[in-house]
Amino acid sequence: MSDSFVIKARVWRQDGPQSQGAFEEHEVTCVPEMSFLEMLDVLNERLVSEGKRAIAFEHDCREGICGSCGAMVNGQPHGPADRTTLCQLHMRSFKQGDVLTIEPWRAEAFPVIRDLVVDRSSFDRIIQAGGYISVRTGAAQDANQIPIGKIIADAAFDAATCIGCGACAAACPNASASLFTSAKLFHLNSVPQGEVERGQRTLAMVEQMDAEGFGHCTNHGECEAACPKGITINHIAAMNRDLIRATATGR
Amino acid sequence: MHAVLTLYRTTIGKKVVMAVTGTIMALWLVAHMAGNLQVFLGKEVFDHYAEFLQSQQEIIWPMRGFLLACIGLHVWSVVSLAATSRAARKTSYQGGKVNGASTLASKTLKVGGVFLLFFITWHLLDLTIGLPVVNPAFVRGHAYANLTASLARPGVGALYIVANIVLGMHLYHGIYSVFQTLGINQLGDRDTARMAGTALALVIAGGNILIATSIVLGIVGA
Repeated sequence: MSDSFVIKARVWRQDGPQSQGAFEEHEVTCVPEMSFLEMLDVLNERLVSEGKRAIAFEHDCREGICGSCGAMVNGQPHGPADRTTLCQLHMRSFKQGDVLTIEPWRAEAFPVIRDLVVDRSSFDRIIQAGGYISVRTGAAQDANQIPIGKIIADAAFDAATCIGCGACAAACPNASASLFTSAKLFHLNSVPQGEVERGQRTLAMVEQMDAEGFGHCTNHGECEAACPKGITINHIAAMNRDLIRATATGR
Repeated sequence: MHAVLTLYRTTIGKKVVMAVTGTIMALWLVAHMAGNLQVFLGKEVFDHYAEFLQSQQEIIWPMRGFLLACIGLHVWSVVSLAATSRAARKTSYQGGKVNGASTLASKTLKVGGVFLLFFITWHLLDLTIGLPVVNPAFVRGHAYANLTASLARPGVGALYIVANIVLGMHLYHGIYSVFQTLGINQLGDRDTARMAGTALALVIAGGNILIATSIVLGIVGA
């Protein structure tokens, strides 16, 4: 193919959680239409055919909505494109001869399992602590039975677009999970269904976030710049306010 | 009390303590700077102002205690938070990390704070306590002469100017962070927070630097 080009992938290889990791370099021939994960697929196919172990990386939907994939590419979570997950990053963002340093998220709350795969169950436990609403279940309620203003509905939906990929904590100088936790809080706390448990939910999720060993927020805004979904740090301000209110008034 | 303890247990609670104590100190600094601008009105006015402050002993000492408590809580909280964030990422990015949004002010907040702590100590020894090693020309009660003599020394004048640049950067990010931490800008009005931080930084550091520069250049002095 005339428009194919060769990049050098400098990939983090680490056998297991306790192993010592190191970068390994491979040249990969790419075409501009390839996604970043397809570039890794091509590389893996070659590694396997050579009898070597494939590079472990997480992926599922490959259309930017599941939150499975993610890695640092040249020091940027999900690579250089704005509001783009790793699977939606295309090799047209790179050119012949580029060296791509690919590394897993780094945070004590995200221990490396193998290569680029990290254990993000700390995020699951934050959700388990309060990322739900308690209702009497039964037949599904009619849509729009509880009227919610458009501004609030839109704001809640914006927060709910968080896919939990972990780029925020990966980008944060303090490895803080504030952006993730605040987005999950906001999309429930801002609508009537979630309002009932607003205070206890906020306290429980913040306490779980701290217990998981994430750092604190210092308002750099690195998370917001890295987020593939454009979640803003305004949600962190809302979380802080809800926490203050919850501890002051008990609700 | 229980509520305060529950809040303080969280990382956000410690940030709230930093925001509240920081705001108090920033507002006090506005008054400190404004009062000291009287140095431009001459020796008599300035000394009279200093004398007036000294005559308010029943206000001065509780004020000093209160401000010391603010500094103590501010420092105590940041020490605890810094330890948390250091422990949150023990392995740094081996391939480096690109800066996405941090500013010089946000990145130097902690180291600047340590510098300010040393500067405040020096400042008190220089012009409040008048330790001979720090300010040999110090004479109790001669506020104008003490101030001008001390800052007329080029090294000391430079220290005051540099310290206020650091203070300005600390306020620029610190006051912005107050809005964020207390959730004042939760509706996304981040411009107000930025403006408040910028304004306080310019007013406080600008006023102080104006005083220091005037003394260094000999516009104000004995």
